[in-house]
Amino acid sequence: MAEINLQNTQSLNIDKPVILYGISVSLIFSYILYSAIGDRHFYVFLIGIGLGLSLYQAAFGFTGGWRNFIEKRDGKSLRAQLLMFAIAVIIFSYFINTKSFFYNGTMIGAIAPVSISVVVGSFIFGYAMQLGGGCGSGTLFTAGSGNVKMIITLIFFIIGSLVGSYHFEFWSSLPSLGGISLLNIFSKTQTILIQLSILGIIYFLVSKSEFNRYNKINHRDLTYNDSSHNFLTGPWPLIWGSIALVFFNFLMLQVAGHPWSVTFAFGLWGAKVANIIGIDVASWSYWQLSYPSTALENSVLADPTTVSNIGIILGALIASALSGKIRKVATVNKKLVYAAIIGGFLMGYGARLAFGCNIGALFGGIASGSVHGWVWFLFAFIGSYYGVKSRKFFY
Amino acid sequence: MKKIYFFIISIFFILMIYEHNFMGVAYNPLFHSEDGNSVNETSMPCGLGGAHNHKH
Repeated sequence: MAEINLQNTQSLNIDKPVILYGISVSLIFSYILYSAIGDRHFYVFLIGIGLGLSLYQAAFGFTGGWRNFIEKRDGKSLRAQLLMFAIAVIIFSYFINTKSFFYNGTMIGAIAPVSISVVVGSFIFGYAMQLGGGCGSGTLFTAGSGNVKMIITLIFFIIGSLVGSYHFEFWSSLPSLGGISLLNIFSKTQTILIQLSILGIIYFLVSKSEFNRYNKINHRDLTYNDSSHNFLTGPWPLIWGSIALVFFNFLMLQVAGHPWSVTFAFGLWGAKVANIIGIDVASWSYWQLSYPSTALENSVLADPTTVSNIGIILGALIASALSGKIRKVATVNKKLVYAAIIGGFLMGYGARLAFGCNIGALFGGIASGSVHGWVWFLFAFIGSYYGVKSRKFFY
Repeated sequence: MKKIYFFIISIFFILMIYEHNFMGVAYNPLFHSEDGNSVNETSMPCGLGGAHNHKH
């Protein structure tokens, strides 16, 4: 039985200066958001910090989990993700298209087209995340926890997102079935049953594959960690991460009005920099769409995805300092830099084509009953298979 | 390397705040307004709209 220790933190190597830095920066952003923009942006920021803490403490990464299954048939992390989707499907199906608790308006799902661009984009993203060493959320929380290589990945993620937005007109002109929401076709209960059935089948197949390799499977491995775990300093069991991410994504739905998303902000940051150096981004068709054009015209802090991303970086920074694991020296060799550049750029490009990453398109899409989320899952996984094969050239 | 890391992320945070001060926020643009007449009513950050306006 794992030891849960909520009190004994004295012996841990907590990095107090880094915690002080993280809390100070968080307070500055909290003040700006609350006083200059609005209370909902402030709450989104707090949710972001919660997401960053949870992602770091549970080491909840999609990239490593998929790679472990592809390479070693170790399905532990993948099973945790499937359980997370299942919990989210049950909760979100009942709340999408209903009034929020936080504001007088209707919450919407992450619905995007089932199209060629999603197929190509998700494949590229799945391939690239294995090279870059992190997905949308993974890049953010590892960059926030002191990993210099992931800062390089993040920079090229931003550049890739910007280039993807430039090519968006072409990709969106390719064949598309349009947005397909199961909640618009079936009842809430039917939508839940259909999606849980698919998730159950995938869970069974993953478990069977794992059993065939190791002649044993322990489903309780999601509920404990190999080392003793502490709520404050981690590491958490994976199931804690699954539940925490659903919880914070649900809060995001209630406060922002849509599920958690990550990669839109990367394209926006790239567009802002491009504007500064004289590129007329506003003339590109993507940046003339309603949401992107509004975001481009305003401060980056007016964009909720930017605000939650900053929160995730700071949450992961504080969590890594609490655990005493903020990286002192991260040696980055030339091959890893190449992997970060190629992986980051292709992830950004792919995410723009696929209407999001593993968070906005996969997690948010499936939770919202959008068929594009399932298409994204399938083709990103195929892409990851080839990405794992390509890693040997860099790692 | 740790100093370089903190230098980079500090620059990132400063640029975010500087850009905010430079651009400002005319109104709370990307959320629902109380009268339901905002961008978010029909949009997701994917840029192509939410459940109400997907006509792709």
